[in-house]
Amino acid sequence: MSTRAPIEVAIIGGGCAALTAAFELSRPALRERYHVTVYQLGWRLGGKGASGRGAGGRIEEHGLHLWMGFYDNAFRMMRECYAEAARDPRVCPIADWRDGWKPDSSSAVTDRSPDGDWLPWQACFPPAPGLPGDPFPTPRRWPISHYLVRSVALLRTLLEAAGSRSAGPGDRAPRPAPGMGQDALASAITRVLGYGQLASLAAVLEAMQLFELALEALPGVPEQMVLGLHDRVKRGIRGVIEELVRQNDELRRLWEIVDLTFAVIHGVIRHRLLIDPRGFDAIDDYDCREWLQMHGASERSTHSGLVRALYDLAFGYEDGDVTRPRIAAGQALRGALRAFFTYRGAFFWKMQAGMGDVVFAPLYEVLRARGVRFEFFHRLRNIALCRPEALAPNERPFVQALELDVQAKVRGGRPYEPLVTIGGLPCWPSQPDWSQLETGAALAEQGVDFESHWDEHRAETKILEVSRDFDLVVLGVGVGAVPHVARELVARSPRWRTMVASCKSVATQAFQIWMRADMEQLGWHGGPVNISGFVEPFDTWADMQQLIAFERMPERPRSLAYFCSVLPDPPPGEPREGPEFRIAQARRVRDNAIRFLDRDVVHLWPRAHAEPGRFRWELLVPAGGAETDQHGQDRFDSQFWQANVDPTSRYALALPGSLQHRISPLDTGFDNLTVCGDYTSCGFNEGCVEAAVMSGMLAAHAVSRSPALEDIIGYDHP
Amino acid sequence: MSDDMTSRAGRRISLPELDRTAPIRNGSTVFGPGTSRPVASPHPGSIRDAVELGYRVIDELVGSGRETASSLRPWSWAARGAAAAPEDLAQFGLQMVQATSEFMSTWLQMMQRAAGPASTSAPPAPGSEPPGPPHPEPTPAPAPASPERNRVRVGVSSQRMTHVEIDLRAGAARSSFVVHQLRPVSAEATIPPIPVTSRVEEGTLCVELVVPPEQPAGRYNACIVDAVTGIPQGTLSLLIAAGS
Repeated sequence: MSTRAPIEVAIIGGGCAALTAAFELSRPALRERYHVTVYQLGWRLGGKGASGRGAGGRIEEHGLHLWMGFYDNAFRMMRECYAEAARDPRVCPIADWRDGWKPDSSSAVTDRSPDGDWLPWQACFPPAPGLPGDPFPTPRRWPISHYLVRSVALLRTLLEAAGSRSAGPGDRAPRPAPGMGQDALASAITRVLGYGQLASLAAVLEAMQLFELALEALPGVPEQMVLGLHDRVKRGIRGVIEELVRQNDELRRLWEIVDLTFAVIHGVIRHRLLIDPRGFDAIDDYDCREWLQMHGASERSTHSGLVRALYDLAFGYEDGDVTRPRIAAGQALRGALRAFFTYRGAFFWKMQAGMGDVVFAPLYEVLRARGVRFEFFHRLRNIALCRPEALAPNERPFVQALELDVQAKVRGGRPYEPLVTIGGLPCWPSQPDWSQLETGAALAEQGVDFESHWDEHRAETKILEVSRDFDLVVLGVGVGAVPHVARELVARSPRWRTMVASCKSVATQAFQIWMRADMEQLGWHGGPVNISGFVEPFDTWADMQQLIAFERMPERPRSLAYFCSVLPDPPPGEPREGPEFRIAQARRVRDNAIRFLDRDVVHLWPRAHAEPGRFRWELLVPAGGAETDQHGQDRFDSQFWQANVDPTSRYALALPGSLQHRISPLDTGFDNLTVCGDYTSCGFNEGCVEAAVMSGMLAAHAVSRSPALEDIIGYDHP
Repeated sequence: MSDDMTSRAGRRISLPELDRTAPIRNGSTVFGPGTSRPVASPHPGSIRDAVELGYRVIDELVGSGRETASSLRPWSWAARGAAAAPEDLAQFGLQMVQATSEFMSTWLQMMQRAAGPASTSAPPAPGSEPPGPPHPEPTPAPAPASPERNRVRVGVSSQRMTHVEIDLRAGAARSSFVVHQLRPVSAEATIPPIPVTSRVEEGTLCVELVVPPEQPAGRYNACIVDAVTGIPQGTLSLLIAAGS
């Protein structure tokens, strides 16, 4: 047992990345070498993943969160967390991680039909072996050639599907017979066409099988030869399939996937990603759509629902402007390939309660049990660096002090107890527990909003000094907050300046509605689904009816739908700061949602409209249970919507040409500070839970050399 | 750990020095053991199967496609009120023939390359430098090590500048070669192949070809196969220069 004093680590922020760092640094294996304190704005943990329980115990989310089957680091941590929490299943309905997440294989994108309608296209991803977070028997490797082979195998599957749709297996080319009647002749034509298609597809399928073998042979095969082969196969398939897809939406979509996959294969070979030591980063200066077109993907394919979904899921619209879709090609490909080819169990895993309930409540329980200290109602104002003249020769600049506002003080100096229990499940409330706070009633009366960047309320200030109050700092705030709290770092370090200038973020919007009709009654017959690529202003919809059982609304809704999208920044010249701006943006989201329900949702739910252009507002279930006297659009006020415009709530974009400027948690340039968040250089440079967890693990490694980098799944992914 | 975390004053703590601060994305991860099957050294059986499969495709599928296309051509579909479907279908079959045969031509070349010495190099060892860039153009295989070198005589009749390459596999049997038609690399559906006449005279492969004046410029490839076994033995490559 070590007798050394523990190293004091101050973690700023309580989102996924920050809590992952806390989870790693507080592991029992480290023998209490690190004493961790988490400083959290407001009353709840979660950051962009925070959720709260509102009236009737309903779940109110920051946005829509879906976990994907390749989130191995995130799932591994949560599985360990649940095992350590050892909740009693007789008391708590989410006692095991399998209670918290359920596999969901249904996904969909939407496309415009020629007559202007939006048509959903559902896909069911087959179950894959294993479960996310399962240990790998050997260190995981990520050969790109493996992806190529898998891509070709996917093509074959799709083409076989197309073949089976275009002609029956028993079709044969009939020979014309003298005296054949017109109907019989038409029938014969059809059959011949079917045979020709089938025969052609069969030839192509054989070609695809050979192509798979060729890809397996890489890199022993000369590159030009493979590219030449690729071009020939593609031309052959294009001629065959485009004929087939002309009158058939489903086949057209299959062809779009084929076209896109060919472009990926061609681009991977042409850019020599198989051997480039930068991996997919080598093409991060290109926009994804631009890169696909450069390698032969058609205009139609690159504007298909599938590609739009790629942008939608990553909120990939600069300044929230949907006419400016941009996402770095390398990261987009890395994400898509991992999503499609490395998921385990199911493609999606849907949380069975709020993300705060399923993720941050058990993390809080476990971390607290390990001795991690939580300081709620602490807002970081400034990271003060040492004076340059105070540095010894060759000494790196270091954090001298952390300047914080204490937003509210807890009565009696006790620790704030943040959780409430609903139906046996520990949850975060949507509002602070005012009763625990000094002058809590007055604060509530004033309408203090502790999570607003522009709410200046504070009970006192606090200065944490290096070596007295902390030794090392983990900065875990959102990317949008960095320029505000790390001003001195940005001023001192050119790298940080470049990072802040180039790593942009975007505001997002979301709304949730609880309804009295189920999806079948609304005209949706596709079962529970997650859809992207839909119309703006809300391009993504998820059916979240599984949450209803965990809520306690007096009138039990029959369906629950979440929508989200980017929220455009105001035009130049209009305010982008201040409490009024925040209120105005929230109003804008409300208006967007109402307009969307009146105008657009009918494409998904044909029976949701009372008449053209008017949503059936009476479907909405009021929050408190009692029927309101609100009618028409005003009933929407009983639902929940969110404008994520605070700097720390903004989503980190993966813009082309920006990713190389991200700061790594392993190398911030400061002597006692590391950083974490899904905007950092973490091996998966796209905003999501998995990136945040990887970044948190890297931050812990920067502090303690643990976990080993080889244990961070996907960090060394090309 | 504490040694490198001690401050100049003996009190302030620094972050530790790390072994590395960036992902390793060189060949050890790209070609690492994560692949389920050999990457750089394809299984000989796979190659053999692929080649056999290739010939089956040529013989059966392409043949049936050609038959389908030709059987449709004489028909007078317009008289039946069937719009453009028959022409599409005829074109369809031709496209299939063209695409598949072009594919096969290249495929056989590639398998031949893959089976050659270049494909047997081991993947980079973990931690080693990434491999150098691949050849920008296909390069001929090294000359056969056999003391009995294959002799080839090529006769080209052309009004334009041409360049011919012959690439024979090491140890190729010399007794019975057949050279397929030269097909354009550009794979334009309208470019006809160039017929090739070949025979073996006293162990020498004699190839003769006539380039029509209207033949588009570009590179054309043909597969050289063993007449008895059908096993590919090499590639004949013809480059026709642009201009008169």
